[in-house]
Amino acid sequence: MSYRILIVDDSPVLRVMLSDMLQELGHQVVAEADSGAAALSAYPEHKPDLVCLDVSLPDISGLEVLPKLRRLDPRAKVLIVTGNDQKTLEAKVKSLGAIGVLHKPFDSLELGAMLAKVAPKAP
Amino acid sequence: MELNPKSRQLFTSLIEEGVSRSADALGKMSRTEWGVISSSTNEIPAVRLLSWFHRDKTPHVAAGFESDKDFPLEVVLLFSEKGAKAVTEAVTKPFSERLRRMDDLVRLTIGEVSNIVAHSVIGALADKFDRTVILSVPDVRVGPKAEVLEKSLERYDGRNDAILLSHVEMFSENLAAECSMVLVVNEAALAELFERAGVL
Repeated sequence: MSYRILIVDDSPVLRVMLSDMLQELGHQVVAEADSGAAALSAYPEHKPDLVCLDVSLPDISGLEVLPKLRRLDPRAKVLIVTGNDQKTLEAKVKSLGAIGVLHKPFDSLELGAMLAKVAPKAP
Repeated sequence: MELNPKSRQLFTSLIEEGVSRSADALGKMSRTEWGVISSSTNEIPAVRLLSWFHRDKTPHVAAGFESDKDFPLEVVLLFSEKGAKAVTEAVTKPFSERLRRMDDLVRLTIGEVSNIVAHSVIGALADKFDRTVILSVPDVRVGPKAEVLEKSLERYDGRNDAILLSHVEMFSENLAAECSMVLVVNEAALAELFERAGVL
């Protein structure tokens, strides 16, 4: 299955890497956002199937963006993509409605496996 | 307020665990092995730390991170210019031309690599306190070691604040690149956290 995806990450390098991997896996990146505010404005415009959301952002953290996205669209599917591997984070973002957490660094095999794992669980 | 010897020992062991996670993360991103040459944690006034780093005048690419207010610490990663280029090349090689044509690719790549490594080094510490510590986005600077470190020490009183400094040196033989990592914590703030959390 192919998804239309919004990438939210402050790092242009990570955005290109993730975009390359997603396209290689057959998905379409419909937009990229470098901040929480840009993500919240891009979401209603593009209505993506999935949002890949970083936690550390320059304006508001991904932990604040996530519930705002879910208020915009209660069916929003958000995958957290972060270098933060702390144990408490996963429980916290799942309680906020994220469908999964992918830890950086990852390769396209790990990304593909994560998408396959979380997709059926998405609301 | 100072850390008691047991708390200090625990802090050091949590950082050591984080250092091992960091070397693994750096290796995975650059597709080659990184070894830890040295790792130490000492109490040191901020002014002495800067005078120590003043000896090295060669330019470095450094990425600095601050934590949120709940858990005050700074992490700085420093790469020599040559090392930063080697790491950038290794990390970006498998990706599209769009990435390699990017302006300021070395600074941007070092920022992203350092973000992942910095989160790895504090992971064990955050887990022990059952906290989620979110680091800022990277502040990438280029200059001699002391100069790029100075900004991360701005919130400390150079002579009066005792800081705990963890200094780690990592090296990749394949890339001929080294990476220094400096983690700075205000000792009094850390002692308070230990006491409040009842960790020991």
